[in-house]
Amino acid sequence: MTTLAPSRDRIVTSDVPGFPEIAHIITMDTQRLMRRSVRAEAEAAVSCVTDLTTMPGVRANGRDWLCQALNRLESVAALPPGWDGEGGPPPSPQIVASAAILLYYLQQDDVPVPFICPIAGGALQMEWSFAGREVELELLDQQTVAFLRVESGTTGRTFESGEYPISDINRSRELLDWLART
Amino acid sequence: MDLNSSLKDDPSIPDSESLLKTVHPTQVKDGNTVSTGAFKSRTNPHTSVELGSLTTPEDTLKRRAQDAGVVRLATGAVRGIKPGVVGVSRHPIPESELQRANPAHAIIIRQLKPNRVYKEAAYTLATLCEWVIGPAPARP
Repeated sequence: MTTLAPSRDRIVTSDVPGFPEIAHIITMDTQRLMRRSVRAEAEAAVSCVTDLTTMPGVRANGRDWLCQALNRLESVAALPPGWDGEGGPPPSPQIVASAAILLYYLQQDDVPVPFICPIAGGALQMEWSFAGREVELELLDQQTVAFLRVESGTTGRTFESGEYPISDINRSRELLDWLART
Repeated sequence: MDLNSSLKDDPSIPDSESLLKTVHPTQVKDGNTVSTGAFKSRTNPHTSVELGSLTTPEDTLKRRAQDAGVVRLATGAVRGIKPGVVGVSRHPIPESELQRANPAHAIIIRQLKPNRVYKEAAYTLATLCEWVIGPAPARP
């Protein structure tokens, strides 16, 4: 659980489990987040990702990449309850916030902007496909990334999968570096 | 058979049976490629489908999100992903106050663990999809 204080309207990313060592600030309407309405939670999550592009540390050549990625995240965050036709919840605001922070740290323009989609039960995943290689990063909760990487060759496909803490930014970067490697 | 639940692959469902599944527009890449996210769940390892011999793609769509599309997978190809681990089981839904009866409802059975097999199966399931009704943005 994210331990947001209802009286604040700004949080530091250390409030988001998985990023305890990071001191950047995200603007988030915590009053809305604290409301029980699922719709309000979705709006709060959207507010979070929108403001992230104004944070210090966004590289000039990463800004377009990050803006496009956050726009995609925003559309997934705004899904209504029951989006899947089975009464399922949209991605949780906490997972959306963690995804936004992960994108912020991954910003790089040598791999495509990720495709981002919801997963039933309130999760989401990011996907990259580049030159016969694919990487999926699945955020099942705020702490853990589950990955799948796939390489298609003349003899078929090879798979590798596993899990690591979301705070291990280097591991996420390694996966994207593998994607871009020729 | 290595299915660790009461759900088991049902041999009375022929390999030629079409499995119909709705896909939400947000789970479609580049207008026509189904994301593996459509075959994953945070809480449920199995995937809801409908038996094509007992319903139509149009009726499948009516029962789900209206802006979704409908894809078809062949039962035999689904079983072939990992025989004994991935299977198809009938799961008819009885009439209730919450929903109408759906005798066509079935389930693609998988296990969440081991995680590697679950993810690889999701990837392969996505590659097996053939569009029957395109998602809303792709419709003319």
